[in-house]
Amino acid sequence: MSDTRTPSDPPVLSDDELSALDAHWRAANYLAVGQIYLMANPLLTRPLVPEDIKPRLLGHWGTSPGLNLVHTHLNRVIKDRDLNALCVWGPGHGGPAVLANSWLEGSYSETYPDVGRDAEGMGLLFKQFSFPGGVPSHVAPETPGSIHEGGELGYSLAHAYGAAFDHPDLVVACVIGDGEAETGPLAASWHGNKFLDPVHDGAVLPILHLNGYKIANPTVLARIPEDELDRLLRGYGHDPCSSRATTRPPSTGHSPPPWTPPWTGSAPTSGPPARTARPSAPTGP
Amino acid sequence: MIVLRTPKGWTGPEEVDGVPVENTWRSHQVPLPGVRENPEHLRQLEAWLRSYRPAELFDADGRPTERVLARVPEGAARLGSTPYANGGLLLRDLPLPDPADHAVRVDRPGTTLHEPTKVLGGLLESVMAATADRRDFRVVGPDETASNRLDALYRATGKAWQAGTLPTDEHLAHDGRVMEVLSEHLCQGWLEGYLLTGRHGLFSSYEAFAHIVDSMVNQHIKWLRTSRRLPWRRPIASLNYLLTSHVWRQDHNGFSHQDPGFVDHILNKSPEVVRVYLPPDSNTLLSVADHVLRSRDYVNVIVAGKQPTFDWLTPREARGHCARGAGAWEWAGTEDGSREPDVVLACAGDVPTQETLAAADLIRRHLPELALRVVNVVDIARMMPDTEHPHGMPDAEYDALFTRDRPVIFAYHGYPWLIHRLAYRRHGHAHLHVRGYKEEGTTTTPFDMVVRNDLDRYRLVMDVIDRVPGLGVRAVAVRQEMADARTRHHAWIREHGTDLPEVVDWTWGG
Ligand SMILES: Cc1ncc(C[n+]2csc(CCOP(=O)(O)OP(=O)(O)O)c2C)c(N)n1
Ligand SMILES: [Mg+2]
Repeated sequence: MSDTRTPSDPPVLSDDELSALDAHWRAANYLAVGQIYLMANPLLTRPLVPEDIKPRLLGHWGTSPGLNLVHTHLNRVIKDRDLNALCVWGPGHGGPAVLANSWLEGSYSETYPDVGRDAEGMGLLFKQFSFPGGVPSHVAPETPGSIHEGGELGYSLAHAYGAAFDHPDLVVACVIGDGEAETGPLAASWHGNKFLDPVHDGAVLPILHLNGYKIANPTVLARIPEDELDRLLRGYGHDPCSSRATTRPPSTGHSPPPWTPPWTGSAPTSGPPARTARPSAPTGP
Repeated sequence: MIVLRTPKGWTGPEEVDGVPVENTWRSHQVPLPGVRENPEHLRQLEAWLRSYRPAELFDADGRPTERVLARVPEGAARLGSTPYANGGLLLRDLPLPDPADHAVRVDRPGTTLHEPTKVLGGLLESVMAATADRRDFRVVGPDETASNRLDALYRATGKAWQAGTLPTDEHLAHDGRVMEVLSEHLCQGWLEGYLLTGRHGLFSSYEAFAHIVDSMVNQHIKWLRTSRRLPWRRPIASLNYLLTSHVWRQDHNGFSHQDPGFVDHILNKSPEVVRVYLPPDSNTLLSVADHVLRSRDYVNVIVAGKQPTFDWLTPREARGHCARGAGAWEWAGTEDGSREPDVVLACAGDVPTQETLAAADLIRRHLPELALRVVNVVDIARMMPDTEHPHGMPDAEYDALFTRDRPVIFAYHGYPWLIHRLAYRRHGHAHLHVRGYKEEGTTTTPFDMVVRNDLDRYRLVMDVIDRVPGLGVRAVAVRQEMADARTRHHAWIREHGTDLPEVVDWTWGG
């Protein structure tokens, strides 16, 4: 991984690349919605009828498009840089998003061969979600790639640091919900950077996801002045890079995605500056 | 780090039934709740799904198109396939020393004293040193590794620390593998993350403050319980707690630091995951530690004191006793094998074991005609039926050890109701009388703590006299003597500030 920690100016992604990323993000969103609602007609080969819809609608949509966006871009960064990466999904109620991505990349079908990466498998993926005999609504142990269920909120960043200790070749991304960030354990977790050794430990990339709300309320960190949030995070020794989605996404139009990720230059890491050079590129466990 | 602002429920329905949903809290769960019944909601859902233009994303067979997958990594680099998320794939056995190398020599039981956690510190130092290159073992704790007598660890590693240092600091090191931070939540979360990605560790905590992570450990136990049933998830190292500075010896702190209830909490949880051990001395602690550090997919709780504690068992005896989990200490009883015992004195935990042995000593002297059995329990789940916990004892074994109908006076480390709860279905339950901590805590002498909670040797002898049929009338003088000793104790500590000499100087006479 890179030994610099200051993101350089994000290179502009080509239109071609943006449209591939957009396709991936749309596919993940489609699959997330499908899991929450559908028990038949997964590809919408005919108009929806009430019988296609699950009798009990269970799951969490709100966090899912944000998690999907992060997953889409993490994929890109992992591929470009040949990283060993792990992601801790703090808002674990976004199970539909993480399951969708795992199915898209093929991991899901390799782990559960009966849920293939085809129309029939998509139908099963949809039906089994939050369904008796199926899979849980959260990023549970059943979810490939997970070490963190995110059911009881607050522990994502502590888990991420724990995973990074003594794994010098690993980048641990960690999505933190803005509601989750109000918990005591998460508030303490920002201090993990004072314990992370740049030589023997991996890198942690906290991604504070300000979607503005919890279940029924706004979130503190989304409503305090932006510069106050910036100073808070800097006070904890982190280097925040801000990024905002501002326009309607391409789902309603044909424009490229409005959001250019900030971490396109170098992988920003959290923690004090390296005392010595980090061991060379990851080679896998 | 990244601060990412996106609208909650982005790309979902902007409005439902006339109220805004996208970019509000209303998008949290299911934005269109009535799709089956409400044709307008059904129409909105279809428009929503079609807005992603699925025909561009999936081919006719439902496979994601090349374009969708163009920027997705392959093989183990995929987030859903990384071996780091299936830590058992990366796990290696710990290089553990022979516990005998760290054991204490015991020529006669109950005559020498050692600090159990200090003895354990030697074993942990050896594990820490043996993992210096592999770096897959850490010890976490809020602030108490040294005060819990585990400071031998600092001969093998330092305390992780990247912030500023002063010349007066000790043992801080960038690369230390002891981690101290005054947040039990962080200790727990870090260790869980470390274990889940294929490494080993130990969490040492004050007994009372382990409750701070009650809820976190619930989640970890659920995780392990579910993972154990997923064949593709490989076993990971157990989460091991060492609860020390326990309820009976909070000499510096008192009531706020006294709570032995973490084990009650743990024993409510999935029996396939939870294990609780109360080693009574240094050698049994070593044996238990060796066992838990080898184990997989458990949450192990060890309760052991850091204060000087009598050595009861040789390393060999300790190994056998821990393997059984519970057993009679024949050398402490007075049975001759010709008949069932008149009474069983049972104990679990280091302080209750000492009081029980002292009570046995008094009985041997004052009531020599009684056939007495002394039973010690290390593995508390042995009290449960074998149908309810993998370590549970079959009824036949329980009946043989505790008898079906003789009084059992059980001196337990924690809340007495736990033992009743675990043993309620046993034949002898009506004859089971448990003493333990009943929330009588304060800053006082060690012996006063047990007296206040009716767990002291004199009280245990009185319990025997009260419960062995016919003994009350015969042993009235002995009972008075025991009651007098408690009165004498009360006056003595208030005058001298220390325990009675006969208590302080007691050793096992046999
Ligand atoms: C400790 C804890 N308290 C309460 C809840 C109930 N809960 C589930 S989701 C949620 C809101 C989470 O908001 P946020 O972290 O911002 O996630 P997102 O907006 O991405 O859904 C709450 C309060 C919980 N899961 N865990
Ligand atoms: Mg939120």
